[in-house]
Amino acid sequence: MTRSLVVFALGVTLLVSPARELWLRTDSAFVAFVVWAVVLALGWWSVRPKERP
Amino acid sequence: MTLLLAIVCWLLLLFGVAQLGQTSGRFRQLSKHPLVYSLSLGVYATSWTYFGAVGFARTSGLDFLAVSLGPTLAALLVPVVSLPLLEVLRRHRLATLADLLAFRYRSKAVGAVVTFTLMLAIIPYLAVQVRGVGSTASVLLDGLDPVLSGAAFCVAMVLFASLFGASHATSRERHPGLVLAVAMETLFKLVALLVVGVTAVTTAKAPLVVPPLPQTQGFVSVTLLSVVAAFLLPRQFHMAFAEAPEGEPGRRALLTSTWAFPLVLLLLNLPIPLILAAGTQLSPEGNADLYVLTVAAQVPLLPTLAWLGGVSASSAMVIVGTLALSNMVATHWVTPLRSAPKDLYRQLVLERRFVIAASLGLAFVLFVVLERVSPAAVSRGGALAQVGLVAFAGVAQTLPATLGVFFFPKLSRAGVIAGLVVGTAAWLLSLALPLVGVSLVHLPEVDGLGVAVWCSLGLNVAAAALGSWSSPVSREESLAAEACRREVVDDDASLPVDQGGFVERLAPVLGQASAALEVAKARSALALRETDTSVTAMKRLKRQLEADLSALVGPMVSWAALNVTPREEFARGVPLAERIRSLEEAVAHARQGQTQTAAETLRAWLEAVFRALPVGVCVLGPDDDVVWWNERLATLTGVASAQVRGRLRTTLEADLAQALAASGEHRVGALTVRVTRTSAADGLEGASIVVVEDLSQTRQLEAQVRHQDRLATIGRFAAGVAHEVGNPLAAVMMLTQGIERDHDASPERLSQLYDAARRIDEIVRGLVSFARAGSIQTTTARQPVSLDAIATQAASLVQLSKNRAVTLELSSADATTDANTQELVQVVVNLLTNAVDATPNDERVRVHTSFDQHHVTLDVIDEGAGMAPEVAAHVFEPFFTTKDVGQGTGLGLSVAWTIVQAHGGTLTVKSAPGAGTTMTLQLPRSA
Repeated sequence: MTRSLVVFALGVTLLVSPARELWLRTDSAFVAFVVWAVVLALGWWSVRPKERP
Repeated sequence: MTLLLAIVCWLLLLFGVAQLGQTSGRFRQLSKHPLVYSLSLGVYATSWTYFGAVGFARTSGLDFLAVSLGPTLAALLVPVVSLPLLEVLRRHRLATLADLLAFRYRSKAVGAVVTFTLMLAIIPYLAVQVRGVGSTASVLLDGLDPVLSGAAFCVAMVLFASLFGASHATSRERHPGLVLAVAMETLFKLVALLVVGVTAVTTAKAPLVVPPLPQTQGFVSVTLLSVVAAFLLPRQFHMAFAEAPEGEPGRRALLTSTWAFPLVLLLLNLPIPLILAAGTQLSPEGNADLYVLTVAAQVPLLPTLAWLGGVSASSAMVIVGTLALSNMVATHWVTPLRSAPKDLYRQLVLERRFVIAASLGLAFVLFVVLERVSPAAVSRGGALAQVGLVAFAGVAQTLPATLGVFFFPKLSRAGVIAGLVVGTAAWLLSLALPLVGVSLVHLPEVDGLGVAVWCSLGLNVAAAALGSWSSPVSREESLAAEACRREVVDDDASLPVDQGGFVERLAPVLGQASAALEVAKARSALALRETDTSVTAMKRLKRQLEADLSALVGPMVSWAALNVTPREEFARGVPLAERIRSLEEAVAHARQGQTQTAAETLRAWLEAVFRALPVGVCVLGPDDDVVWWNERLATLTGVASAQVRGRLRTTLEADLAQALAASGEHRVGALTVRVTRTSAADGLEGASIVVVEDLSQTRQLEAQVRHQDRLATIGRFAAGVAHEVGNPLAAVMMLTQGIERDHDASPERLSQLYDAARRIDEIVRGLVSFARAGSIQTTTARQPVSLDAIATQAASLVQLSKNRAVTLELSSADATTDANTQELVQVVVNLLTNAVDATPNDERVRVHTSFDQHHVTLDVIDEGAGMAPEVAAHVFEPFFTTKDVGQGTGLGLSVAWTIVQAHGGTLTVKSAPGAGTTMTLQLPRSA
């Protein structure tokens, strides 16, 4: 749950906070997809099964 | 022709996959696969995403991505929000957002208002889907009326949703066929769009350059709105929660959707810039919402595939959207208004199907209106996105109420209703009405949508806060809010007495048969016995029923039917016993501070019952002070409660006061006094509970019964007596005639005459003695009497009537018992009569007497057929007889038992089939 909240905070930072201007200002769909893919990968990381010791 | 063939094939595929999902175990299993679940969440991407995203990109730049980035952010919250929400929904069997909010705020009105808001938001969205299909079909087939193709689409969708979405009466059932069909449609539209994207690249006559995108206008607003929509859109809510697999597979599916669902959206959006670039090259001034078809037209047959992809996107939304609406409308609008139908389950299915048809009918009407106001053909694009975003904003009005479920326990039902009404009105005025050309509110050019959304939500929240302040949360709401946050909340103040009580409570809503069926189902699910009425079992059963019925008739109707307070039950004429038991349960199990009313009512009832008891009852404290003294006791003793308090010994007659002070049973005149000492285990250490009964009437009635029995016995003896008297009488007549004829009154003849007359006298005396000359023996004059004498007298009487020898084995002449002779004769006559009747003529009936230090005993032994244990167990019950009709009253042994009891003795039976019967009479020996 903590990982999910951290990842959500990162996602909000990238997509909604003023930091979004860093990539949104490029008006490039390619950059936008890359950012999206990063968020998506973070989502996968947040719910991946924990490794057993 | 190709188009017609394609649409037929597509429909066959859709219906075929759905049918396989419903009937095939393997496909049903497939529907639970996490990836299939994630694909089914692709219902989010409608014709707006499929056709409209290109137009949206053209008019609003990268805003088109915001619509999909919102669900991506929402997906990151699956472990935090969706999993706990799924748990709450599963626990209480809630299927829709309206169910959840109605449950949390314990209000049918909340359910109805939420349904209304969502319906207002979704109907235009449905209309846009119909428009997407109709307008694109007219592009493929010149001259085809969009209204006609739209109508055909609506009919097919009503048919599909009714068959595969509304096939169950309850919304608690998953629809594997529907899940597979929607997943298949997502896959279909994804493949189709990717193929069109590839086509855009491969068929371009010049290098593809994405045209400069306009600056985003409301990126943040659209993203956040999409986050909310990803959770609260009825179709999304339905696929994510109502259709999630049960148990661990459901949890795994949700977790997988964290990345798989955004991946589907990402893949769906990848071709959009390419299609926009290619479409701009091919038709710079064309409608960008139709660029998918424009680009596909470069390759033969591809337009049909591309169009079917769009149809897939629309149909999935239409099917799931109308299904979710039908569940809400049937549960929150229809069920609370109608009375219990004859066949509840059929009625619910019909209602849901009707709502599906009605919703699509409304959407179709709006589609026709939209075609008249702004025909799709003349638009430059972006219209689909516009309607979609307006729908999102409408759905977002339920956000404050939904957040209140988990985070704001102080939000009350009044606040929620106020917020929803105000927010929906603001949304309607600012965003919805302009869709049909009515603009009453002027919105800014830049991010007008965002301004309208934030303003309407602000008003919504303000009204909710004001409403909650003016009308705080009720106890029921608090409990429900608690139930949404943690697992169990027991409000067991209203448990019925037994499981039948649940049927009675549910019958007015479900009908008697359906109520009984639901209770039986719940009992079976919990593996409870029908007779189990323990508080734990009743609590579990109530919880199970509430959850089951929540899916059937909605959480509020279910809750209201099952949670009847004792006061309401009084008003509804619930039987007294059930009321009292309910009150006792309430007092025994409710929390401190919640029981005053129930306890007070219970105390009043108990006092009323105590006062009205037909026997005298009093409770004495350790020092013999009177605690309770009821009215019947005042009547029996002639001393009122107020007089006796503190003066027990001085106000009562000495022997009665003495009897009250001693333990055990005592006779005081006609009164029987029973005194029970209580112990610490009873919570009344040192107190005495005294029951005083006036048994004089009972004794008189018993005497009457005994007398009747004697008369009946004499009646049965009549023939035998006549015969016995007839013989000596004939002798008297013959001797008299001889004396007269011979003038010879010799001493010998006179002696014979005397003997015959004495024999008659014996018989008559015996009968008179037995019957007491017809009088009713009401007093019991007891005197020492030998059982041998009793046995001899009874045997002679029986021999009169039955003409059967009775073997007497008498050995208790030296021992007596204090008894009423005639009553004991009656006992033995009854025993002997039965023994003789049960014994064949050649078998013996014996009477055996004996005695020991304390008892005298008489056995009546026959060698007849004997009795089975189940017969022997009932022989002393009144009116129980194994004789033919008219041969016995069934009172003989009952009367005998009563007499023996009154003499302080016992009467027992020992018998076995084929082994004869022994009736043993044992009485206390005289001192």
